[in-house]
Amino acid sequence: VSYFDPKVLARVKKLSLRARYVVDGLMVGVHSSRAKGLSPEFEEHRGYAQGDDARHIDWKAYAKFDRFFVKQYLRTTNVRAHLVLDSSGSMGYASDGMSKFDYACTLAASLVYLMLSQQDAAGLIIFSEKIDTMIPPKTSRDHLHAVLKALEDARPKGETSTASVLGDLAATLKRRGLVILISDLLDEPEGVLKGLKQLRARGNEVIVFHVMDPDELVFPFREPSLFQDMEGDLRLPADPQAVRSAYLAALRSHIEVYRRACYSHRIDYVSFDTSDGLDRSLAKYLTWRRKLKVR
Amino acid sequence: MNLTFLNPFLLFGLAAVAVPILVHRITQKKLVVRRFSAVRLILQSQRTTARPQKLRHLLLLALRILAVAALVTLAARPVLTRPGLVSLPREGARVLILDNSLSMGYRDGFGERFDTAKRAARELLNGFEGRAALISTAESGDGGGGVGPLAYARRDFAWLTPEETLDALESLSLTFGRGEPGSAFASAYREVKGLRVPAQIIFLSDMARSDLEGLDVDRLGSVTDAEVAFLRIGGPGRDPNLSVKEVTLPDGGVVTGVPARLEVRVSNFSDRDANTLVRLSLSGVKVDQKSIGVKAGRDAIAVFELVVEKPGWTNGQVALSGDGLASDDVYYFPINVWKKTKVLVVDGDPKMSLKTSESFFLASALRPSGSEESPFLTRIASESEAERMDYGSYDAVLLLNVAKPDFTLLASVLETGKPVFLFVGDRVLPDVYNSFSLAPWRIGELKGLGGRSGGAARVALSGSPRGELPRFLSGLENSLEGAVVRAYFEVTGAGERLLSLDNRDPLMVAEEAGRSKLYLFASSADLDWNDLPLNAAYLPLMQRLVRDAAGVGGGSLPAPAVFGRRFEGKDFEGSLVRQTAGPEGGPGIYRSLGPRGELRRGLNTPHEESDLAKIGENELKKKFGGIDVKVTDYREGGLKDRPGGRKEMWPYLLGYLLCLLALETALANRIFGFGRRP
Repeated sequence: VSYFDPKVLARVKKLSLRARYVVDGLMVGVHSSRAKGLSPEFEEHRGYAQGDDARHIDWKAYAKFDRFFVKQYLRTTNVRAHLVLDSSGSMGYASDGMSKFDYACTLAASLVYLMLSQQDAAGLIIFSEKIDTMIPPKTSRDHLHAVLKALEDARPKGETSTASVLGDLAATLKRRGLVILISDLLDEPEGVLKGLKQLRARGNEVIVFHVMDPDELVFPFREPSLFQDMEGDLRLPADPQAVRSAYLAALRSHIEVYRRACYSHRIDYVSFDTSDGLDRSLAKYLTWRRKLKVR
Repeated sequence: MNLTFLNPFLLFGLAAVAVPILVHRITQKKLVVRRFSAVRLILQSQRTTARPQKLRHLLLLALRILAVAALVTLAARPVLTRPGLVSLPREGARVLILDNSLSMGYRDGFGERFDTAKRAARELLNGFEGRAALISTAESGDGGGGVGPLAYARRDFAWLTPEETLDALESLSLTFGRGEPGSAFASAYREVKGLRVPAQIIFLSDMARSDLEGLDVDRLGSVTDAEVAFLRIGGPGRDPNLSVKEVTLPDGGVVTGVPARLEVRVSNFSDRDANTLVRLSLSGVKVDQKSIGVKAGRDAIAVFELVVEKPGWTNGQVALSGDGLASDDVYYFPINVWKKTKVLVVDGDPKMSLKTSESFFLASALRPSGSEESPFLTRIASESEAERMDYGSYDAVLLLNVAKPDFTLLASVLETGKPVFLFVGDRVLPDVYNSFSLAPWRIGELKGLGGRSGGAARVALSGSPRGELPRFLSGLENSLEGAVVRAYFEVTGAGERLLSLDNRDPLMVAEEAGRSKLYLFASSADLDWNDLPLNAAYLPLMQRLVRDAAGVGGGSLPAPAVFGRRFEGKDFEGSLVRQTAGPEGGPGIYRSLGPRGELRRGLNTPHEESDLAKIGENELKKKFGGIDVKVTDYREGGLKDRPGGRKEMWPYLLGYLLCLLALETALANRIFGFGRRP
């Protein structure tokens, strides 16, 4: 039995258990932050600049190169992560057992579980049109229960307003950290990307988990249907066979916009559907942590 | 090019184009309601796909509608006709129907229309190598001999070579009567039906409404395979024409030496007012002429005063000053001129004063104002004078209040066919009059003034319905019924009652006696017993009564006959008829000698034929219904330059239908990229 399989996980009602199953077996460890400063672990030299503390001048290097160099040390610190979870109505869509929101909650819980086990601080923000729930990052083990409870209490409803939420978040965060956005991104790309850029501009690392349902990716419908929007009153009659190719093209274009924009702003973008195993997302996080350590 | 249909009624099937529309509506699938997250993406994609899909649906619908319409049109057999006359093939069969009715005698700038039609016929036969036939709409000898109506009767028909047809054409002449295109067409249809070669029926005519209006195509049968063309000689507009409608004698008869009023009614069959000169001729001698103006589409009357000195038949004719159609400008009428009626009036109570004489009012009625222009020659004699006179030299004998009539003499008068009138009075003894063996009635007691039983009565015209009144009383009813009779003898027994009183007693009776008639007036002839002599009806009553009784009361103008129709009445039946006036075999005056002596009738052209209004092309096509007909105006020598023709459209329409079906199949099944989804 693979506990990364969403179908298997769907059978596990308790979120904490789901998170534990997912995280079990994964590597854990201390990871360095990008903040550089005073630390017992040397990282590199750099040229002396006016204002630098003379105590940090490497006199041996001066003797060798006849130039002043300042020693830099790697500061060892825990990650301060914010998981930003989209709980809009569209996240409630489920084609086969697990809805996008269930998937996202499991993912968020697993990540929090993993982070806390690695002594990282993990916080949670649940939003739809506005921020519904905000749990600041903490490292304590008790914090996990608070996060899990918030996730269990949340229900997908309302419209999405990712752009404003991200903007507010960027303005709110005082310390740089990791922001993980878990959403179906069914919002205007310009607004969402603007929010992501603001977060990046403030020195945050950003990962976007784009969660989609297989129905959204394949559009398998055949009968002429009256499509009812899950976030609003929009009702649209359409022949799926007639619009499928155009829909898929629009979807591809939609994803491509996010992918390109994220790439250009050094945002990690990962799209996957709810039939994918959750290990992919966690592995993505760990990969990112590893890259962070290499730096 | 004109598009016509051989089965136009099938075009009602075009309503079937509604079927694809209904099917499209019915087969539209019911929508499944589905909650979905990425509806905005569907909306975005629909903006690019909905329009082509909708277009495809509309295209499919349009193709199906067009296919149904094409199928219905195909069933209606469309035929494309060129505006030229006919296709003029060198082979096949060609029937020429030539209009030789009176209206074809109209002359315009190109000459007589009948001649123009003949030239057109020659053009049609020139170069033709098939078989041909020539039919005229009217037979040349339809006129005076009493030939009956020819409507739809079988015409002589023979297929000829073009050369023989040309010979037949030369011998064909114009007639004075109406054409019967119905019988000509019926003959042509009968012969053309079943031919295995292309056939044409070409009608060469001025298309006068009077000839074609009554054409009943339903009686002709159906010949859809033959090409029917109308070659119009002359323009489509109404040609101006004047003709004499009738000639009448308002006063009835014409008496020698007595002026008579003759009225000539002239009709103007044109759209403009016209003036014409009406010339009156008697026995071939022009006697008078009048110039009259006739408003467009109306009639006008020219009045002539006629005086004929010679008794017996006189041939008269009126002629209008020339117009385009000369044949109908002359109107023939024979006049039977009567000699004056000689009347002997025996006054049984003559007085020294003329006005107090018994005969004063009666004599004045027969000779008003003592004029020589009276139709009566009246001789008044006393009872004693009359005994010495020869009654046989008079046409009628009237006895007024005669005490002792010579009944033997009167009987001889009646035997010679002369009528006798008995007017009673105070000198009359009933027993004396009742002794007259020829009188079937009995004179009884005197009623009223002077009699034992008094009381006045009014004239009541026998109590008969007015329609059954004797001819001499017509028009006098109102005046006569106001007359008061104060005294009269009661009359009983047999006899025809001519006048009665309102108490049902007879006032005047008559009875056949000998070879003539005996009349009895139960009251006096003067004012002594009644006021009838002062009545306005008295003069015409007495004049008509005496003339009718003397056998000169008939009209002088026999009812005219119309060319092409059998003479009505029995006048000419079984007797030899000869023409005495007019062009030979045409309109004129015809005479016969029968048991009642010589009779004459005027024969004239049909008045309706003078109306040269033309039948419209649309009206004609409507008449022919399913048969494709063309109407073309003839231009001299222009037939070869304007070949027309008829082309069946069904092969093209079938191809079009198949293309539509192929396109529809491709679009419906998205074959070869038709309607493929983007």
